[in-house]
Amino acid sequence: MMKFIVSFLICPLLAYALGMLLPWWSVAIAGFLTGSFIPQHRLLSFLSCFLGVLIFVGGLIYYISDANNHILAQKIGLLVLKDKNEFMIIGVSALIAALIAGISAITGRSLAIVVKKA
Amino acid sequence: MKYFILALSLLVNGLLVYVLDTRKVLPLPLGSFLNVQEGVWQNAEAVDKDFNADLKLDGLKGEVNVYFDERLVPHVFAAEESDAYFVQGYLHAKFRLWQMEFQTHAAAGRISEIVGSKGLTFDRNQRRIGMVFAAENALVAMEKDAQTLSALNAYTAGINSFIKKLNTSELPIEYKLLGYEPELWSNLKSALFIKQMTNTLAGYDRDLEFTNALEILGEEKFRVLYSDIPDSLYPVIPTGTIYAESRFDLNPPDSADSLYFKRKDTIEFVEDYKPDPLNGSNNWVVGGSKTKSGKPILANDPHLSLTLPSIWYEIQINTPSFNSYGVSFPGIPGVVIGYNDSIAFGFTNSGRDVKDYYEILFKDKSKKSYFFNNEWTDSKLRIESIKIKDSLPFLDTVAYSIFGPVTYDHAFKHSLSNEKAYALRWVAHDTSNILKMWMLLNRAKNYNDYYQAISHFNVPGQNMIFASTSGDIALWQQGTFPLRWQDQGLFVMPGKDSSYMWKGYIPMDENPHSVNPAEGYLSSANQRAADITYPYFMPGSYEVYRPITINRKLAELSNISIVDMKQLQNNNYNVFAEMALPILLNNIDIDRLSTDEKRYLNMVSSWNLMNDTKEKGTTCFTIWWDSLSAVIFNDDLIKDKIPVIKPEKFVLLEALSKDSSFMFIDDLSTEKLETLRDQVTLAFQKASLKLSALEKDNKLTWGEFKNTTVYHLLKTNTIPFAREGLNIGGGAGIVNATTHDHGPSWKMIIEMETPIKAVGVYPGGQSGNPGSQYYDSFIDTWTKGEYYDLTMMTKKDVQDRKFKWKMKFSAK
Repeated sequence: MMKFIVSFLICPLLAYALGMLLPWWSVAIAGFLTGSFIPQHRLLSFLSCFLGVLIFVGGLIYYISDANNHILAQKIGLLVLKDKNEFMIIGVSALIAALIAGISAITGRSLAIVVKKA
Repeated sequence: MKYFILALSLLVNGLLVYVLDTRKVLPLPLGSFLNVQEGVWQNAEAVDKDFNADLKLDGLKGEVNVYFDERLVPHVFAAEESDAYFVQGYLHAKFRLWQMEFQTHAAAGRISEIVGSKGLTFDRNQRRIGMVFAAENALVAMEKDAQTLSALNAYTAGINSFIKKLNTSELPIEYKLLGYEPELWSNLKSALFIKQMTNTLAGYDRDLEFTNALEILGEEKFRVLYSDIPDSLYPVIPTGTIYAESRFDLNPPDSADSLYFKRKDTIEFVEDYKPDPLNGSNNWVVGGSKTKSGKPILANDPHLSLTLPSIWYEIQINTPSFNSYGVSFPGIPGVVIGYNDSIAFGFTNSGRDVKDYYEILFKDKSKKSYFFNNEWTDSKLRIESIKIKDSLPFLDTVAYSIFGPVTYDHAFKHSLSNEKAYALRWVAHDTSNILKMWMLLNRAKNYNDYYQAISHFNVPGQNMIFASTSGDIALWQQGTFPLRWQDQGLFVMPGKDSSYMWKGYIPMDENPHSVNPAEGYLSSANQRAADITYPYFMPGSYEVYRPITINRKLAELSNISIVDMKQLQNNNYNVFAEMALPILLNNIDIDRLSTDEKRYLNMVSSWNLMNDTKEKGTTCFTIWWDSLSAVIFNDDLIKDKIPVIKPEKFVLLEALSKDSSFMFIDDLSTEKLETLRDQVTLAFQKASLKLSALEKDNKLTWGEFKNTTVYHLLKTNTIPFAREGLNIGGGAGIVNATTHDHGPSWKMIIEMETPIKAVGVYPGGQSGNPGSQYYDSFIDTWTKGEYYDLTMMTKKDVQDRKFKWKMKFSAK
């Protein structure tokens, strides 16, 4: 459980830190590293990174969008999803980052398992 | 198994990152586009954003303080004039960077770089009408003048100072949407911006279509349909003004009758990307004798495509040499329409034709030489390399003749043979420094200063309105207009020798103008500037009806205040319908109409002639008239898909009001001899089909039918960034000239009291960012026909709460 929580916290923070220097796909690196170094079941690696990034990024975007009275969220929602609802576009934005983080965590964990056993 | 899982997760991972990173699978790279740190969320500007800043920048000479009021209008106070332009450049870039670059890319024919091959025809057209050539020529003159050069250099440095510090996450949304990054600004880009505006306002011509219409109709009928002198003309310069006789020999060449008026040839291709002929404006000024305050009142509303971000950016610029307020163009320095402490100035388009085509003969496909004055003459070949996103560049060779660039040849319009081509002679290609006019207008103190300022202007020819605190009013139609013989340039001219070239330009002092007229007011609304006593041929595309309403009102009003001028700018009266509707109603055969048709007829016969949003009669009338015009002219004009252009509305109206057996009424495609009654009734029945479809969609009221929309510059690609369905009346030919997506792009009224009183509004907002509350914050006020008070800030106002933020700029 402890590993899950650490992974859940580290992954989004690492993603944010890397994101200050690197392009958007650095969230994959964060997931990969978290997955590699925190030993737990692959499914838990995925879930911890996925949920961590989903909640952290989703929360961050909500915070930004709320301060904007969701003016932009509604426009981008219509543009991308043909849906004005701000929660949808915020959700999709967070989901993309979370999915990449989670799958990268599986990749990282899988590599760690292969390397360790080899 | 573990290897399999590793391989599978790597594959899924890689695939997912690829799909979200590229534009090849999804239309947008959603990974970066929706990323919290670099994507659009970074453009979501907090509604309580603090705009205060202390900026230390290279390139400034001293300190500049900018106070933003609650509408985010900057009031720039600079101790050095060049610093003011530096900061104006910085602010334009900060709030409007994408549009400035996009518009100048468009001017230069570089849209394919951004959107790919779908922009290619547009780009080729821009290069072939010589837009870059024109900008380069203008830049030579601008950089020769020390004052303009200093302003331009500072302005460019200010823009670049902003661009250089911009990081990816701060890029305007449109860059993220389209996937490119800004390049540095240059003085040439300012020149390109000017030429884009020039093309918008002086790029409309009908030479090719007129040439076809002449061939289809013959000279006599052509003159009936394409006259540009209506009986109901209210010229810009009041009738009765005495004009001096022309001092020039303006006889047509001997061959004109055979080679020009009786040429037997049609031009099969369509000209793309013609500017909107509705581009125009209203302006007027009333002298102190007609106002409540005893001081002049000046009003101006330029009609352009309504866009977000707006073409205008409001600003006050205060320097030791001038203090001006008004709207500026993001793209050039200075205030373009506005006022200073002594004078106010505004513009409407002259609508005059300053663009002609010459038919030339190339020796062969290579375009290296063309026949001129009895010999083969070398053309200059300019190879245009058009970069295309995700593709190899397209090379287009444009030949330059003695007339100008050869716009149309076999390589561009495939219906042309290898030898035959059309070269463009356009005043926009001439060397000139029109920025100098604004440099001088911003600091002008009286009529003489205004006169000196406008003498620097050549194209697009404008009606330049003026008022001063000392009580003078004036209106000049200013520009360089070709000296033409009667009918020269209506049609494509022979280009095999110099005999059809322009004979020079009309001297400025013979341009139509009026200063402090006895009537006590002056106005212009894109109509023909002078009546038939003006000694020069002045072809153009002119408005007829807006000026009638404006002149009627100005003549009748007295004791005028700003409120009266607001009402006039928002006036929805349809004077064209006042004249046309009785003809329609007198000639409709009610017995032939169905019940539904009678219902529509009732809507239009009980209509109050106002183009208000709730009126259904406006929609019925507008569609009925268009239908009648088609019923009457299509059989005569439309032959084998040869491009022609509809006659102006006044032609049919005036013909029918004089002669109910007008020669075009009969439909040539039927055996029967149709009467006006037949055609008016048929037109109504055809219109009724459209009206009934509209009624089913609940779109019969004028407001629903017109659906006034301020589009984002990327038009229907970015509908969520547009404002649709605005509840505003008006229309073409109405003083409130708001059509579906075109109309008053800035409305301003200035009363020359001390201190000067001013109001204004534009359909947009100060920020170009769709994620800012200041993006469209003026639109509701504009839609309601309301205005903001414009405040010329003084240093004493620094403590005033309405100046909410301060940006301090100083040298590094």
